[in-house]
Amino acid sequence: MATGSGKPRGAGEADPVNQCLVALLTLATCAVFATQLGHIYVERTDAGLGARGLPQFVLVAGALLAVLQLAANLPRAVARLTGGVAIPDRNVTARVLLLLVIALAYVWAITLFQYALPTLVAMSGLLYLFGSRGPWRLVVLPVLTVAAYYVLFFVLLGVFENPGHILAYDSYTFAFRIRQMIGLQ
Amino acid sequence: MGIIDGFVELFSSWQAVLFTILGTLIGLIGGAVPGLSSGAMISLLIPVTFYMGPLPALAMIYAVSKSSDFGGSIPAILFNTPGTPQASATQIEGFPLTRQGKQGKALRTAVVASAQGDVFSELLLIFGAAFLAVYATRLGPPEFVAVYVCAFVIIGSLLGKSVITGMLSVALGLLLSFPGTDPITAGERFTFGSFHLLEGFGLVPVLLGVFVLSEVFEKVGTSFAATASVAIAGKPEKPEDATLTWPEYKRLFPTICRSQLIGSVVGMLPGLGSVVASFVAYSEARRVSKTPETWGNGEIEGIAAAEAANNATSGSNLIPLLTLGIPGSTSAALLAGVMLIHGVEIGPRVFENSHDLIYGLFAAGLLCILTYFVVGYWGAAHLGRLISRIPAQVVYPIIFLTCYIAVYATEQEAFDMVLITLFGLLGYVMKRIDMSPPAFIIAFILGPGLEESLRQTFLLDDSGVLYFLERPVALVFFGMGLLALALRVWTQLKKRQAQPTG
Repeated sequence: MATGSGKPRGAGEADPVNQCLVALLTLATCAVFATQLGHIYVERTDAGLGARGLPQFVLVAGALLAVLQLAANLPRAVARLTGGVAIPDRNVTARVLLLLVIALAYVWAITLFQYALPTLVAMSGLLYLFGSRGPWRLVVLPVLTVAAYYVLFFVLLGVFENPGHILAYDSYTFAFRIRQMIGLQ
Repeated sequence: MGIIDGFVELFSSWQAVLFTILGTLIGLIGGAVPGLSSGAMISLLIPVTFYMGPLPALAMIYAVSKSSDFGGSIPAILFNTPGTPQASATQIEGFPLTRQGKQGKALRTAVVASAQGDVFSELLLIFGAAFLAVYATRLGPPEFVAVYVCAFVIIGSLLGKSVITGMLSVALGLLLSFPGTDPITAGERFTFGSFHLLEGFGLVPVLLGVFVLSEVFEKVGTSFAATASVAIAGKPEKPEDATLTWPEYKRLFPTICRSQLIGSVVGMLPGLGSVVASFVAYSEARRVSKTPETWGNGEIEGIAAAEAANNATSGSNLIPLLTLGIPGSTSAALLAGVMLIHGVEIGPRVFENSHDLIYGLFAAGLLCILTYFVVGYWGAAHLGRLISRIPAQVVYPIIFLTCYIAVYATEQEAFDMVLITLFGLLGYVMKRIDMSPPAFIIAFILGPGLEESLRQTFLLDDSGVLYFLERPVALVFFGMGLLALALRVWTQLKKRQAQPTG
């Protein structure tokens, strides 16, 4: 995530700060998985490697490599960080977080209101986030997209939609009739 | 002749023919859209393949991966923006030709070289893979363990920015392949108490998240107004400027032959891929050229070299997948995923168990080459103009929501939609911190295969790890992995020493 430093690096050279972040990500994942290792059921009569063998090996090897990576890069990473690293663009970070919020809200909304309404709203929001403006892009295009998804997934592929917890409607019967009309059913 | 059976199999299903042609067109268009990788396109299409038969599904995915290799050259030549990373070498000579008004010649050189390289590679696959598979069927679980380890070491060490980073990407992929049920005891593991994880992380949310959503996360911070492509095409002075003439083709023929050989060999090696192939072939063609001073200013030989090599990887990189069950590239890994979804066994026995299907796939590959040759030869310039009109501000929101609808279509589970978000974020972070998403995905797909072979090996013999010492073929594969690792470490150390300190 480091975006710059006082000294220029070669194009193919690995960034020490990023290398440390890779190591930390791996160590964190290994730690989370290690908490579950003891819960793996092992048959007493199981000959050979056993159910825990490979996961245990990958956890240990991954953690050791991560520690090695950290040890090899930490001094250079600290030197770079103290030497002044350009702060990642706050605007970019905010946009990524906003996209994440839209994604999670969309998933939640689909369970409450089924697919059409949340997709319409999410599409408008996404188009706005990506820089589209005007009624054609923000209103008409989302409606067309929702219709296109409906035809592709619910009519042509015959996907069944779960009823929403707040708004429940039957989208399947209409799609089923169209499928019958065009000879798919 | 297997390939005759393949054509019969292909043409006896109108869906297979239709989806091959559709896949070719999708690959061409997707490859020509800068920023949309072929991995992302294939991942988006995988949920749709759930509703198809095995041959139409595999044929469509294979066609997308093949034609996108050529599609990437269209914006590289017309707009100085490679649609795919492998088209970067084409851009060096292609765009100067566009400025001289010779974009027609450049595009036709690209499509002719691509198609010739692709046909050569496909023939190598058709006649070589089945031959090698006969020998591969004699390998047992210990040899397969060695092949998996060799592939992980090569892919991890080559695809990462540093050896350890690449290996950590592999380790992360393996770790995330463990949740679910144990392959032998069927006991649950790493489910964190969630019944949603009893079958592990689904392939579709993982692929769509890491390959597709991560790209949208990356693009959300981009100012599209600043990156809009501008075509600066000159006007052709002579009719020959708009086409590739026969004398020119004869002059290019040796270069195309040499480059397709380079591409085919590079394609067979795991982890190298078409970017390496196109640059190696381009450099080699420039080195042996009698007029190296003209290179960089619009030399069609450079386009021919890069494109022939780039497309020659697409057939040959299926050889390790079909003979050993090891995908050597992202596209091959995704094809392996589709095979697993459709219950097609990957590995050497595929030629016995799914003979017609595999030769049908090869026939689809040849049909795809013919399709993109016809469309590319007469329509590439029109396609380029069409793509330049598609606003990126609209494309990425559509891709984003298509991912969610596609995941919803497969299981109708909100959990999978949360998973795709998390894997999208993981893919984005991986790219930002220089980890390798392809190495991660290949390890994620191959993890269960490695575990199965390893457990079988330890059940076969009580001597544990020492058993490998009694298996010479396994030792050869372990040796290959170690050699590749040592070479990569050595080149990295040399590079570091060569850099000025301070």
